[in-house]
Amino acid sequence: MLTDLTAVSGLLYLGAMVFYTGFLFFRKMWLGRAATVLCVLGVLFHAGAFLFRWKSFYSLYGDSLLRSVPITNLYESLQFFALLLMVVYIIFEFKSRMRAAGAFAAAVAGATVLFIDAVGASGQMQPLVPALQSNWLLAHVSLSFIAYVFFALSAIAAFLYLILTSAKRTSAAYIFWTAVVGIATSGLFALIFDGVIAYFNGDLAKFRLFSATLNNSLTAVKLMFLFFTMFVVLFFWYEGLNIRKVLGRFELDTDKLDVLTYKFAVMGFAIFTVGGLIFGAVWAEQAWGRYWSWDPKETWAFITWLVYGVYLHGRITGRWSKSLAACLAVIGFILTIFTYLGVNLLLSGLHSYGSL
Amino acid sequence: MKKIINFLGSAGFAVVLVSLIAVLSVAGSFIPQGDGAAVMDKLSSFFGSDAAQVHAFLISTGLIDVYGSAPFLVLMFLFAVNLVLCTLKLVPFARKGFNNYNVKLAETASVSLTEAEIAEKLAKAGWKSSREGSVYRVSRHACGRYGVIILHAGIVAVLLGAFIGRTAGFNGFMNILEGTYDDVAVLPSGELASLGFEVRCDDFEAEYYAGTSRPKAYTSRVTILENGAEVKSADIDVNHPLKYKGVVFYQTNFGVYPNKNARVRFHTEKNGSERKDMEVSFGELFMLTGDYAGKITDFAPTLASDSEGRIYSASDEMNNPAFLLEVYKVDEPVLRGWILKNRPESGFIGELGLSVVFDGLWGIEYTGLSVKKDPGTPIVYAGFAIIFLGLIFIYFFNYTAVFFTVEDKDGKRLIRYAVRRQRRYPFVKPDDGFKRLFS
Repeated sequence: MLTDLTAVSGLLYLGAMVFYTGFLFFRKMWLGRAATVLCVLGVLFHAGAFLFRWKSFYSLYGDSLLRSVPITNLYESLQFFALLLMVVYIIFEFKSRMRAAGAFAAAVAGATVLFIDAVGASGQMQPLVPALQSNWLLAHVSLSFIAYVFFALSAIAAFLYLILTSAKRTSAAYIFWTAVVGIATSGLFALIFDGVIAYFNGDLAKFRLFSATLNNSLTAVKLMFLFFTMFVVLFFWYEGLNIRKVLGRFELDTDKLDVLTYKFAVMGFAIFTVGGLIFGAVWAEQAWGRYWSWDPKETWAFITWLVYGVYLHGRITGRWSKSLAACLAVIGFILTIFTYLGVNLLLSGLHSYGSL
Repeated sequence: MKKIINFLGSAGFAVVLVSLIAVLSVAGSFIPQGDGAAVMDKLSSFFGSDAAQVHAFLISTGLIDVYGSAPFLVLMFLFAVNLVLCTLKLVPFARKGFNNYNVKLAETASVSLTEAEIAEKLAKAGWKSSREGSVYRVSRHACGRYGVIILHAGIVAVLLGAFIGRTAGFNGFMNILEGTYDDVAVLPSGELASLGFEVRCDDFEAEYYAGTSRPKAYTSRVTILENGAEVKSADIDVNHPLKYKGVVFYQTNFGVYPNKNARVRFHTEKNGSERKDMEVSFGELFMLTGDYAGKITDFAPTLASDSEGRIYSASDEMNNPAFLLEVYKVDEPVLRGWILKNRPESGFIGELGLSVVFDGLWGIEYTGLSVKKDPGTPIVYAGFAIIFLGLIFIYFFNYTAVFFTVEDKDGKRLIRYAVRRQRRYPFVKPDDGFKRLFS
């Protein structure tokens, strides 16, 4: 019942993405409206599934409603991230009357939801281990994710800015954005390979990240994947100008994108400082006895914070080019993803609640 | 001297510092940190037989403790200095605000109020005004000017608190076996820190969610003793530490320490009634019922059986503890079997019509407590509060000054004005209020 609901919302998001893209291409108002309707429906279904899970968790294990909020493992937190992303995006759309970023936001959310369902990240409800039994859980985790969502939106705007403003294949900004898209696409393929192989093996318990590619025992497979990645990057480097041409048809205001990047980053930074770092430190002091222990997650959160700090200061002093600032906003979000997923999957530490 | 200060407080130096701090932090997140068996295990899995050499290399370069190493601490110190110097540069503006009255007044508004009425209206709406020649300056959200300074001060306070904690406090641990006490904490360096009082572990309990190995709660019942007298008893849980005389105790670890003083608590029931509670040591012979005597000879913290039905202990956690009971009849062994705590039916002995129910073990588990004394924590927390305050000032107060002149024109008053805002892309715009007053 639950996974059905989330799967429906995932499909609705993907449908919305299709309509947003159609709206951008054909400029028919009804397409844009339909996309918005699909988005809102998706959020309603998704929020329903979220609340339902919250309630079931409470009635199964809950000693307190606040501690039953389903954000305690990778599955739940990814769902929460996708839901929040769409909620914030819809608010943004209603406030700004701008639908240009819709295709991106809906694609990210839809892919996230369907990805979790496909990989079969443990969707089981598990009771809380002692360290998580605290009301700080809600404050710390949910605010951290709200910050991640703002960083994501900031990166989307920065990305659009970079694509639209870099007109030469040799410019640093152009090389940067095509490389990022290339590596991300290649990584997505790696996940799809993993998923397909896990599906045919029929044993999701044996799922190991990147076992079909970089983590494979055969060096030849690793090398092949590296060549594949290089090929994808070169492909985007070669085709990037065409992507720019297609996007250019939408007549987005690049100055507005630059300001949006900044505003979203500023929102995310404040929430991250308070909810992620300060609340996290207070909770850690209570649970582990140290407000800061240089656990990998803390370290990477700190690095993310530093990078966004540098970005904000670079913008305030006005000494930077806007492209450099946009690149840094994208790097900031890549670090955010690493803080969230990479640390959980690659480095062990105190924050190891979010593994598959 | 001035050159050095300028350099230490420059933005370029800040970028260098932040980059170096980030690089060292990344290194520390990938290189196993600290001493202990876990670090060697990790190194062995990567480097095999060379692990010992790598370990020695990491120790000699300080990479085994990046965040406590001299270069990292120096960087953090320089970062604090840089932050203070950069922040001091913001003070003159924070004190004076926009004070250049010689601005181009490009925007206009026309109102039918007198000059005095305009001043009154602005004052009512919360604008503070001053005047230089014919040019008025009205401003709002003046406190927003201090936002960044406050925020930076908060960060410096956090760094200061962390420094005080490092130098004046300690971070250690103590393992206390049930029924025993200790008065020193072991520091990571292996040195001992005396607490000045004793901590006794009365009981440790690990609770698991039914039928799983997923922990539900770890609880230590401890008593603080001073000069032999009990002064305080409390339960320490994860998320519920105990604080006594500036020292804080946290539940972080536990384990089983098999020893001869451990005692098994159980009770027997004959024919479903006649309950008899017992507490015995290992190897001690005791009367069970009638002619039968019993002896407990072995113990396993988590009993599991392999594919051939052989019994083994699956882990050190007391998830499903069991004891091995041998039954004798006039010195002749007649029976032996494991009695599992989580499976009461395992204790039914048909021949004797007797049930033996395992209630618990005492004196075999130890609790692992983190022991911390950190006089810097209040300063760190104050820093957090100051940062929070700074953020509020930055986000909700946008210092704005409006410079304007008032002239008579066609029986009305013509206001020529210019707006100066502290924040370029503000979330709040007080000047909207100014414009609304005269629209």
